[in-house]
Amino acid sequence: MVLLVTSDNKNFVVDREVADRSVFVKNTLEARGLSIATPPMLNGGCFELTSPFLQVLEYCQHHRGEPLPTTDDANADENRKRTTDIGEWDRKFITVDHEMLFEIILAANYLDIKPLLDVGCKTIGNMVKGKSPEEVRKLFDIVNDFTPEEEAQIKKENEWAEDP
Amino acid sequence: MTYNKAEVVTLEHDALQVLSLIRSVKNTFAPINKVPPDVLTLIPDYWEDSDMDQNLISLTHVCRSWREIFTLRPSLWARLDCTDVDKTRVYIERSRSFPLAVYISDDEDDSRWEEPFLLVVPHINRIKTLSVVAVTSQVIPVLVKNLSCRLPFLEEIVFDMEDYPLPDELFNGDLSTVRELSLGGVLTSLPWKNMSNLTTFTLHGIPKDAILLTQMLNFFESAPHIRDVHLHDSIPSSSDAPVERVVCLPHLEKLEIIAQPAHSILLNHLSIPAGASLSLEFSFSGGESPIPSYLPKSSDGLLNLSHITLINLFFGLGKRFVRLKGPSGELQILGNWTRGDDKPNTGTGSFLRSLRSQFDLSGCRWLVIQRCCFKPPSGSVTASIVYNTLLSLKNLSSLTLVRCHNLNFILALNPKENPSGTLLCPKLEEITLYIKDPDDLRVDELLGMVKGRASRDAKLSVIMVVSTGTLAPTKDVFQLRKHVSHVECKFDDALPEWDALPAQAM
Repeated sequence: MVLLVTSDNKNFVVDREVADRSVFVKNTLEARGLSIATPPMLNGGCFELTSPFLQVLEYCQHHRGEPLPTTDDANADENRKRTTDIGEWDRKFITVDHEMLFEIILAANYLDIKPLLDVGCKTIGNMVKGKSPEEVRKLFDIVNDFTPEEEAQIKKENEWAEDP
Repeated sequence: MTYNKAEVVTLEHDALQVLSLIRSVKNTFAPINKVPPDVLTLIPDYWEDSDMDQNLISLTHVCRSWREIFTLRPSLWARLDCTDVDKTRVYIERSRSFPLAVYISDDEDDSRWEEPFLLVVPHINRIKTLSVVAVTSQVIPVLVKNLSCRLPFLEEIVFDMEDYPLPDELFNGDLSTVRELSLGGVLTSLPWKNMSNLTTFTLHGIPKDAILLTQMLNFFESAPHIRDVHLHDSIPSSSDAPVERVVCLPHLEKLEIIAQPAHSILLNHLSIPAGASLSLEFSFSGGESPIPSYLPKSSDGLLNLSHITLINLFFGLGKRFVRLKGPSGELQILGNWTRGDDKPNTGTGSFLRSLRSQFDLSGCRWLVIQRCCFKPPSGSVTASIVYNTLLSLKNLSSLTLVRCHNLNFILALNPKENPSGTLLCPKLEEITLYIKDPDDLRVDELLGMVKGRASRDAKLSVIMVVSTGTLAPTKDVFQLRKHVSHVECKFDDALPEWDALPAQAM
């Protein structure tokens, strides 16, 4: 068993097999020979972990024992990515509000859980696929901040990009 | 306060700049922008190539920060489809020094590729992938003029043409950096040498006998690290190579041949290593098994079949499929019946006889047969093809019959049904029967068989009945429990795939 402590000092005791889904945790434990992983930090600050961490743990519990993707085969990595298909369990798991989705992606990226990062990025990829820039802005609460000169440049680009 | 027109224009410009800046700051609070840019730029990696351009451009038009993030990742812009000059120029610029994938598609109505391609020429040293799909021959002189030198980063080449000659001077004949080569519809004598890094080779649609067997063998010899080979309708119909010439492919993992000329013409000259998977696909229409003409004369070169533990057989309408698998490797034979008059049993017997005569099946532990529908033998059971097939499987432990005529197997496995009292498959422990109708089970004969085997100290451990229809087997089936350790019945709508592994073999 492994004790994981989040930045807000919540303790989680999990099976080593579950903890090892995170390459970050796995490497930390192996390097230090410890059973306690320190709170992950992000951009120098503490990461609000408890809520997404519960989700990440659920994901790791569900996928425990599955083979982890290897990093030495570029083609396999490419093939794994070049599909927008998401398994049924993963699809239900990742059906969360935008804030939580982004938190899960952040956590997956930091904790180095590639399959979860894949699921998160595929979900965003599916959300924006086929959408116009205006639709993407609306989806993610972004405003158009281009200057008129930049807009003119974009309009020119649209001539060969067939009006996305 | 008074302003002239020029001052108003300047003020308006400044105000728009400030407004743009305020909006940019506002965007930093958008929840998605919590995701670090290096993760955000991974999103296009999950799109298929066909979706890429439009979606990518769309992302660069969302806001200033996204435009910067996505245009500053060179790998996103390194796929050049050579369809538009302006687009190609922008992609080349944004791809910076990243290796390029260049796709040229030329047809009779559309030769827009040439002008964009000429923009690529100063960057040919960056080409990693080159794909040329052409229905006219116009593309060839342009390629020869611009690509007759060695390309230092070239890893993948695809030529898909319509019977045009591929000049030897392309890339100066040097493929030393190439890992994947796919040639379709080209006239080539496979002249290239020094393919020390080639791992994947595909040849398809090559005109009949355009390549001699000797040229093909020379090619394989000059690619010592080849792993995957796919040959579609491109092998010679006769051999010009000395009988004793054998080329070793020590790193081969997969050889797939789909062709009409007898595959044995090539296989007679290859040594397939242990661990390799060999797949042979062909069409046939006669009653006799075509297997012998597709396999080499001697099995000495098939080191991948030295230890077979699993056999899958599928005799569905129009299909005669065989898979032999074991720790030493795998062979798939996919025979497709080409006439419309196929009946489930046509050629099945000769297929089974061929397998028995060409391979050592004595190490086989698992046998899965789908749709083997011989009628019960009219005379002695020992004359049946099923009996003689099971006779060769001395170490069989698991038999799965999917929608077969079970009676043939049940009678053959009952030592009391043959005059000499021979006990077939003495190590058999488990039988799984997929049935559509309860009558297919033949409970009485099954009972006779399990009793007969138990009396010869060959008691079965498990009988599993899987009903794929709507009716369950009658309760009589549980009489088997007196003579079998475990009897189980279940429903399952789905039939297993023809090449499925039995549960015990997984």
